[in-house]
Amino acid sequence: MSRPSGKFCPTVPKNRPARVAVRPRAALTRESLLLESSRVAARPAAVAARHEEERMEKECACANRYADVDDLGPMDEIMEKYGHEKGALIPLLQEAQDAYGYLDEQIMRELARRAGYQLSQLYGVATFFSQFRLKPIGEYLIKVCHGTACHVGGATQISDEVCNQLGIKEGETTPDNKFTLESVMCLGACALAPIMVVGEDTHGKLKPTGIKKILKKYADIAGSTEEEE
Amino acid sequence: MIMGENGHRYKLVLGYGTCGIAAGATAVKDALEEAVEGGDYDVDLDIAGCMGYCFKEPVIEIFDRDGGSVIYGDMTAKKVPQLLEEHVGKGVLVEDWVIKDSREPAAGEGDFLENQHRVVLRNCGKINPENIEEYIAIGGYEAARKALTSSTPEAVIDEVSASGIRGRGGAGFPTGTKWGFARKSPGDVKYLICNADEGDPGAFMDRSVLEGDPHSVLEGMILAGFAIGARHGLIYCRAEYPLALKRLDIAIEDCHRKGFLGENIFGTDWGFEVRVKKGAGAFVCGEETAMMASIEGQRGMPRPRPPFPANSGLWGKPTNINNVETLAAIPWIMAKGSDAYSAIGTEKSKGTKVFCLAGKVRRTGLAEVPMGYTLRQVIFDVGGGIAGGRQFKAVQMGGPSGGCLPESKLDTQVDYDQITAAGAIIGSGGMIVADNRTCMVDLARYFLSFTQDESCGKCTPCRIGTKRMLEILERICEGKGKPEDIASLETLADDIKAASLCALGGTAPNPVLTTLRYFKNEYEDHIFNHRCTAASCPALITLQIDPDTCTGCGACVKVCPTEAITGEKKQPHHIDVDACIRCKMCLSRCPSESIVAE
Repeated sequence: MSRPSGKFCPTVPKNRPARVAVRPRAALTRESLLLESSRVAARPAAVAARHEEERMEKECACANRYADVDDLGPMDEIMEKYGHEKGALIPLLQEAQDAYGYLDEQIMRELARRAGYQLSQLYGVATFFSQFRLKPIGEYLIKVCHGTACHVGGATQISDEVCNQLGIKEGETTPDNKFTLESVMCLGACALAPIMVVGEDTHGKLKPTGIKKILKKYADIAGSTEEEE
Repeated sequence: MIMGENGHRYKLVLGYGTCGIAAGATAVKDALEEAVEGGDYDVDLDIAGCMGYCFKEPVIEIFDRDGGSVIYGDMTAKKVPQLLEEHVGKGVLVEDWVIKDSREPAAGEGDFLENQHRVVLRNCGKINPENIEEYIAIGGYEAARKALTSSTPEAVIDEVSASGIRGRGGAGFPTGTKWGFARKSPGDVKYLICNADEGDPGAFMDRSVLEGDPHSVLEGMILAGFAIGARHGLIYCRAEYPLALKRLDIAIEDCHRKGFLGENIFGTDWGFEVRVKKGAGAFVCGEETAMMASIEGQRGMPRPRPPFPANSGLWGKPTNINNVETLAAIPWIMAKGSDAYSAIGTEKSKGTKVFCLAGKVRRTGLAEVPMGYTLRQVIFDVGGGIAGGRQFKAVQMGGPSGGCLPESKLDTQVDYDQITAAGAIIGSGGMIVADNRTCMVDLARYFLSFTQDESCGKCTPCRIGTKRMLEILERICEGKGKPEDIASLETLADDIKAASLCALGGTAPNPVLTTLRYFKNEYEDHIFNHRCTAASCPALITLQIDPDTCTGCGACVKVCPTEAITGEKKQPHHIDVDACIRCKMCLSRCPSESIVAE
């Protein structure tokens, strides 16, 4: 499976309604959080322009979200950061997964060679912790929370409905490479149970009936013309 | 931003923690920014962490110059213009959205906070967690400065011991005693670890504290490091908490800038560093020896104790491990004195405890109450009772290591020893309320499937024992239980508890044991009568349509995967029981709630 390359970005409609956030505000800067707005005498037009700019930036970031496994560029950076730190095996794997989207065998071999570990050590750690993936994922990772509050609140029906809508089982990726479904343990937003995370957006107080609408939003964003039925 | 800093009349604070963001606080924030930048409002904007009002998120609190404040709940971007226009512009309340008014503190949803006693959460929702100046303005880092410049490590340990605080991670070990062991342990290099690997499903107070008040935790760490003689601090935080990680990074950077971390802190010759280690998703890593293995870059598996971490911990050096909530309480204790802390609580459990109210309770959120409150007070006075007018059935405490307590135990006091005697544990503080639609056998099965999945596999009783217990529970839920199953579960539970290497296995059978103790009739119903009284276990229910209320809209027909539902348009529909696979999809689709599970 290969990752979708930048084919979605050029097709993103420019006049998308403001409420549709693509990649959430992952890159919240301190400045934006401090809400210095009241001190700055800017006009609404300037704010709107800034929001639009931020939005476009985020949209384009999705194009090359992950590096190709043959590209060893990110590996150099990772090695520089953690290569010589005692016991930094987990950060090494975390950074590699952030860069490549998953831990390909080739990547793990290269990491082991460069950082002086046995491949078995890396594999042992990668298969122990639930965060690590040995297979690529779709453009949007859907994590349905199955913590206690979500379980009591009906998380099983939420998972069933997502499976039903996408035609995949847990752990699988849709054939168009758009969605991967995972169930996870507590995401710590129990008061809004049941919840799921799509990409980096958290959706709370879910009902099975609302799932279709949520998924459709992402299918649309991704520039898809297919209906998620 | 500190009140009045810019001379504005009002200060508007938006709750901006994970809960708030999940409920749509980002859109509200954008709308606020836009409105304030464009309009002429006499207001300062600021953010804060979670206020605890999770059930009303997104939440906005507006302070006025006289010290009064009003909290608005269920905010949306659409409501922002009206809110600013009326409250800030005209000085009139928007009554319908008010959830708490400081002039009538107990009215509306106000008693949710009024019935609490906030020590650990003292700053959550009140200060901007990304601005160190706000923490300093309310006296932050003074306790650490005072201790480091004019006190001794021994005096700090004595003060903490005198307060009576016990570890809030779950085990309840006296913190002062623990520090004393680490202090006395010989070695030049010592480590202090803050355990923020909040893996218990249903607990989120550590996340809220880290997101809402990271500086309290850092100040607690500075004090702890000084007390035990550790110059290296580590925070082991779950990767599932990106916002907490981000706010910690900002807080640490700011502390370095201010000279509160690094070499020669507060102008003394003492140095202290804090680094953040990101977990990778393993429940067992909340266990201290497993956590240290994971920090060292190994599979997160526990090892036998002794040696205890205080003697040989991370990299073989003396190590002290405290939970987030414990560390966040330390600056308060040092500032107000141990007497103030020990005045709260019961004889053996001092201070306050934060509980995460979730499940079928009306007000979900963070509840910090004094030890000694009864469960009834927490669930009904603070939590507002059961949602949807249903009936209380049980409260699950302590996550997968804890237990379920029935209505007859509601007057139990929240206290380490009393809760343990009742059959549950305080644990990290998760409190999941179950109503009469929650099947207790299914809940026990759920926890076993969790512990079984999270078992690291090192010791046999936990690895294989939990698997066998899970198989039995699955069988019972499927209606295939055998008469001897209850006895088998009890035998297995005893063996696993006695022989497991660490607390994960040692406590894994607890959810089964307490449900067997208080809800044995449900197990028997499943096994002998093939009935699930909560109408929850799919194999043991029948779905039917009430012909009196069915409107014949056809919504259920569309979702039924087996085409078991038939009926004419606008006429009552019917479910073919033989074709029905009881997936309950129709149940959630029905707009008139005409589908009944029995």
